[in-house]
Amino acid sequence: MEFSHLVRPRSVEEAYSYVVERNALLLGGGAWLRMSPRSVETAVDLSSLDLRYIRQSGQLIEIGAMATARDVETSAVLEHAFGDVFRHAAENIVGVQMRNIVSMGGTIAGRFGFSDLNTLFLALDAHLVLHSAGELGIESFLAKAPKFPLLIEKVLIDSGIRSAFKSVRNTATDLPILNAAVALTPKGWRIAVGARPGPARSAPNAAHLLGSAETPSDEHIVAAARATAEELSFRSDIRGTAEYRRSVCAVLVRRALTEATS
Amino acid sequence: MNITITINGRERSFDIRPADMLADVLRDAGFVEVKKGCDTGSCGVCTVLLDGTPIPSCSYFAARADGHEVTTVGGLASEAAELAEYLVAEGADQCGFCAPGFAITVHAMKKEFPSPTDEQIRHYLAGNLCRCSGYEGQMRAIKRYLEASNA
Amino acid sequence: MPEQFKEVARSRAKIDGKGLVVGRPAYTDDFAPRDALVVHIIRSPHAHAHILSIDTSAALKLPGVASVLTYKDVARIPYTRAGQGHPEPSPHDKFILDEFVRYVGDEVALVAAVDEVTARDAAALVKVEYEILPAVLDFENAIDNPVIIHPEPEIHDMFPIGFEPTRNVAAAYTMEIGDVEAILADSDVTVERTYYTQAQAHVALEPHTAYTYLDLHGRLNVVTSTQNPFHTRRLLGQALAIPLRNIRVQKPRIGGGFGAKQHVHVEPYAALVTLATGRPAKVVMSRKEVFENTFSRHQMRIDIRIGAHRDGRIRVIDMQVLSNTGAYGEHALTVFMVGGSKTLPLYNKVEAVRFGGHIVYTNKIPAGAFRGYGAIQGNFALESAVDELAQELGIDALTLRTTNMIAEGETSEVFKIMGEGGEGVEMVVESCKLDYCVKRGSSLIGWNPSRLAYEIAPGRIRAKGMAIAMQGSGIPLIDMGSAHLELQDDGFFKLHIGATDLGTGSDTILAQIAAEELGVSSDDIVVYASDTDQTPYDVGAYASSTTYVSGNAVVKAARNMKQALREAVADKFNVGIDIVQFDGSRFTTSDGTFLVGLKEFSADTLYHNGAKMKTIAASGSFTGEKSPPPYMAGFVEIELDVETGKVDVVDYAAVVDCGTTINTNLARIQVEGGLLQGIGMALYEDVRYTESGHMLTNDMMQYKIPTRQDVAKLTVEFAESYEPSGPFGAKSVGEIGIDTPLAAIANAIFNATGARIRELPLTPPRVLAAIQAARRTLDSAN
Repeated sequence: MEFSHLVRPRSVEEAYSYVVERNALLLGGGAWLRMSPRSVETAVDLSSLDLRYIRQSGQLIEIGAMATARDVETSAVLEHAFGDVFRHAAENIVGVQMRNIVSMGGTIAGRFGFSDLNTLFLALDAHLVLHSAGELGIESFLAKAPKFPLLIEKVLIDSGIRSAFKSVRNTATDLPILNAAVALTPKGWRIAVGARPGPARSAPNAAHLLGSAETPSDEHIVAAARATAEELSFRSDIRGTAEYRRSVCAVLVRRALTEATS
Repeated sequence: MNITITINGRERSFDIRPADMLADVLRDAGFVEVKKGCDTGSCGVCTVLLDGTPIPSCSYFAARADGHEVTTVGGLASEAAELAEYLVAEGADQCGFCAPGFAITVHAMKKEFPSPTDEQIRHYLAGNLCRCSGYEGQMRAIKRYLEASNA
Repeated sequence: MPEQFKEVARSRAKIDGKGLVVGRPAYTDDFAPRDALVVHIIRSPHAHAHILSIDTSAALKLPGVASVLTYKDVARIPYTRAGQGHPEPSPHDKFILDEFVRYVGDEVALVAAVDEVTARDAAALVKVEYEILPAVLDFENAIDNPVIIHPEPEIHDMFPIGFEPTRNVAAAYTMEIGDVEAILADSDVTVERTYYTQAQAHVALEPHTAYTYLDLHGRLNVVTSTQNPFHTRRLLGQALAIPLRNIRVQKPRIGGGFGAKQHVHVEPYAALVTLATGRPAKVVMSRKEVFENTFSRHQMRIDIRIGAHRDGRIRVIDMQVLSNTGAYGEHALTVFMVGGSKTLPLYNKVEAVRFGGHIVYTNKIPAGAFRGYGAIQGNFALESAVDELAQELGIDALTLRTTNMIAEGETSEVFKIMGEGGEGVEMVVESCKLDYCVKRGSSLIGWNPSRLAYEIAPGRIRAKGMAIAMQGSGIPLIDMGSAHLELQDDGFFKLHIGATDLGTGSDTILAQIAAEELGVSSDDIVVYASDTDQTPYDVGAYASSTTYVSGNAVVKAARNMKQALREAVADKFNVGIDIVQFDGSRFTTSDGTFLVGLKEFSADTLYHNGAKMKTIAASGSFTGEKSPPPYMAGFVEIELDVETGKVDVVDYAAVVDCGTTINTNLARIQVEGGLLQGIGMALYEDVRYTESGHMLTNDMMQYKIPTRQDVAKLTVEFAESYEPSGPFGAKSVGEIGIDTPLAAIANAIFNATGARIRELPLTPPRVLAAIQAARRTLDSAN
C-alpha cells in the first residue's frame, strides 16, 4: 500500500474530518491494510488518540477501536464478562507480534473473511459506534460496507453472554479454513460462521431452532448445526473446498453449542 | 517527514517517507540485527520491542514510532548473549536468521511469564518461525535458560 | 566407538553462534555497500509470452536511475543456473534475459537505481508489449503438447540426458535389472498404485541476496548467499563470457539454504548492472520474489508396481516417474534419478527392478534442488506402497520391511546402474544399522501391530505409522572437496576450505575433524571458507557431501600436515624423519628425547630458524569412490479428528544411522530440522496456482511452514555405527531427516481410518474427503 501523506490528528473529530474531506484512509494496526495494493493520498494514524481501551460500562463492554488483538486476548475485563472465548478466538492469529498491532477497528473495517474475531463479534451481536453516525450492528456492517465515510470509535457488546468459538486451521497460526461462534444473547441464540471463505454471516433460521433455551437438547443442537450448514453458503479456495466447509460447519457449530451449554 | 525514535536508549532522528516501515528505517540506520524475512509480519525475524512490546517492525509504520522507544537485540546485549550460550550449547543456533527476533521475543515473554509452561512458551513464540532447527533444540535451550534465570 | 575420540563425536559449540544471536552483521545484505545500486527485476505477468517490444526511454529519464537493461543488452548465451558438477546433467536452456518468457515471474528487464523506491517507480515506467502465448500448466499433459515451451535452436544438453525439448521433455531415463514383467506376472500378490507429490517451497528465512562490485583490478567481485561459490563463479563466467580469473565469489553467513541457494538466481542480474555501470549493485529478493521466482521442489506422479511372494518376500519393484521441472530444466534429471537411486536399494533382495520416466517442461516456476532431492518423493510412493502391500498380504508392515530391507555387508545392483545423471558406482554397504533403527524406533513409539490405532476420545483417533529411508553421502567421482592447512605462530592452524556452511555448522565440524586428526584442540583451528580467491575448490553444500567429502579432504590435509611438520622438524634437528614423532603438542624422537613443542616451533619456523625458515602448509583433496548411505527409521504417532480431518503429530521417533556423529548436537538438529520440513510437506505445504499460472501461495500468510506449536514431540536417536570410508566413521546427516514423514503419516492415517491417501499434502479437507470416501466404500460393501 502506498500513501503520500500521513496525518496524526489530535482528536477523533479531526481524524473524521480527514475521512470526510479527503477520503483519507484510516490506519488501525496497518498490518493487513499494507498488504493490499491500494494507493491513497492521505492516511490517518489513530494510534495517539484515546481509542485503546477495554472496559465495562454498566451492562455493556466497550472495546475501543485501537484495542489490539493481544489486548482482547489477554483482557481481564473480557475474561470476567465472557470466560475464555475471546482468548480462544484471538490466540491463533499469526503470532504475538502481529496481535500486538492488529486493531479491532481495522479488523472489523476490513471485513476480512479470514478473521476469527469478526465471527465472534457477530455471534455476540456487537454494535459499532461510528463517529457522527450513530450505532450500526456488526451484522449489517459485515453484510455490506456502508457507503458513507466512517470511523469506528468502539465496539459495544452486552456483558455476560454465554458463548463459544471453534475453528479449524491447518498449521496452528494459519488462517482458518472455517470458524464458528455461538452466543446466547438477550434476544436468543445466535450462530455465526466465518472464513467461508467470505466474511462471517449469521444463521438466524438455524439459531431459531434453539430459541432461548439455556440448555437445548442434544437433538436440537445437532439439528441447529446441520441447519446452519444448509443455511449458509460456502466456496472453495486454496485452504478448502466448499464441500469441506459445509461438512465442517455442522461439526464446529455443534461443538461450539455443546461447549457453550456445558 | 521528520520523526524521532529512541533506539536502544539513544534518541535518533530520521527523515522518512510517510509510508516507510519501521524495519527499513532501522536497517538503513545500521541496525542490521533487524532482519526482513517475509514482509507480512508472519515470520518474526523483524521483531523489535516498541515501548517494551514485541511487534513486527516490517508491518509497523515508522511514523507511528515517533516519540516512542524501540529496543532491538542490540539493546539487550548481555541478556541476548546469555540466551545465546544456551542456544549454542544445544547446537540450536543454525543459520541464525531467526535468532535476534527470537531473542527479543523471549525477553518479552520473560516479562509477561517469568515461569512459563511448555505450552505457554510454544504459544508465545509461535510467531517466531525457524526453518532450520525443528524447534526442539530451541525449546531445550529456552527451558534451561529460564531455569537458570529464575534460580 | 565415540569414547576413543577427543574432538569428533563431541557437541562442540558452533563458532559463529553467539555473534548471530546478538545480531552482529553477518549476512550478505548486512555488508552490501551503502552506495550499491538497487536492482529491481521486471518480471513477466504472463505464464508464456513473447516480448514484442520494450520501451525503456521514460524509465531512463527518471533521476536516480543508472541503468535499464533488456535482452538486447546481453549476449545470447544459453546456460544452466544449476549448481552442479561440470559437465552439468542439466540442459543449458536459460538465457539471462530473453525475448520469450516462460513462467509468471520470468525476468524481462532490469532497472538499477539509487534506491528501491526509485527503481520501482522506474520499473513502472518501462513499457513492455507482450504477445501472450498459450501456456502448458498441467504436467500430465505436457509431453507432445502442441505448445512447445523451448523451441530455441541454441539450447542444448551437455551429454545425452534424453533432452527432447520439441516434446517438452527436459530429460528422460530408464533402466531395468532382471525381467520385471515376468516376475510381476509370476508374483502371488501385486500392488499397483499411483502417488502424487506436490511442489514445496524452501522458505529459507533469508531471501536470496547478492551484491557485486568491480575491485581495484577491475575484477568482478560477487558476494552472495550461495551454497556453491565455485559453481557460481563458473556459471557466471560462462553466462557473462568473463574469464574465471576475473571473477571472485564469496559467501558470508547464509540465512538458510536447503537447496534454495544451490543455483544462481540473483547474481547474474547484479553482475550485469555492475558491468554496465562500473558501480556496485545489489539484488535483495522480496519474499514474494523468493516464492514466485526462485525454484520449488519437483512435483511428481509416481506409478509403482510391486510383486511379492505370499510369504512376504518382495520379488519385484517397478517405479515410473513423471516429474515437473517447470519452465527450465536445471535439476530435471538428477532429482528424478535420486527418486529411484536413493529408495529402491532399500529393498535390495528383489529379483527384478525397473525405474524410468520423463521430466517435463511446464510454464510454471522452475523446480530445483531441495533437501531430499527426489528421494523424499520416491520415499512417499515406495513406503506407502510397501504398507499397501503389507495390507494385501496380511503381514505387519514392520515385519514386511525387516524381512526385505537391506542389511550391512550387502549391496544392491541399483548402486551400479544409477548415479546422478548417469551411471553410478558399485558399492557394498559397509555400515547399515537399519535393523537396529527399526527395532529401536518401534520401541520408542510403542509399536504394537495389533493396536496401531485406538480411539483416545470420541471422534479422536491415535494411530501409528512408519517408514524407512536412505540417502547418500556426496556424489561419487563427481563431488570433490579440498582443504589447506597452514601452521601459524602461536601454534594454531589456518584451515581453508571451499566447503559451504549454510548455518549447519560445517565450519565447526570440519575444524573438529582437522583437530582430531592433528591431535590438537578444535580451538587451535581457525576456519576460513567459501571464497573462490582464498579457499581451495569444493563443490559446495549439497547432496549431503560436506561431512563425507569435505571432511575426508580435511583428514587428508591434516595427515599431510603431520607429515610436513615432522619433515620440517627432522630437517631443523638434523635427524631422520622416521624417528620424529608428534603427539599433537610435542615433537620427540622415537626413543623419547624431546625435540621441540609445537607452539615454540610454530614461531621458530616463521622467525628464528634462519635459512630453514618456512611456512609449513599441507593440502588434501577427496572425491568419494562411493556414496555410503545414511539410513533412518521414522515412526509417527498422530492424533486424528475424524470429523474435521485434522491430523496432529503427537510424537515422531527417528533413529538414524549416519555413522559417527562428528558433532552430536548439530547432527541431532539436522534430523529435527529435516523432520519438520518433511512434516511440513506431509501435512501443510503446497505451492498453488491460479488457472492462468499465477502463484497463489506467494507470501507467508498463504504458504505456511510448521510452527513450534504444530509438532508436540520429536525423539531423535543415533545408532552406533561406523563407516570405514568416512572421516572417523562418518557418513552424512544433512538430508536423511526429511524423507520419512510423508509415508509414515499417510500410513498412520490409513491405520487410523482405513482411508489410503496417495496425494499430498494431507490437509484436513483431503483427509476428511478420504475418510468419507472410505466410509462410503465400506457402507456399499456391506
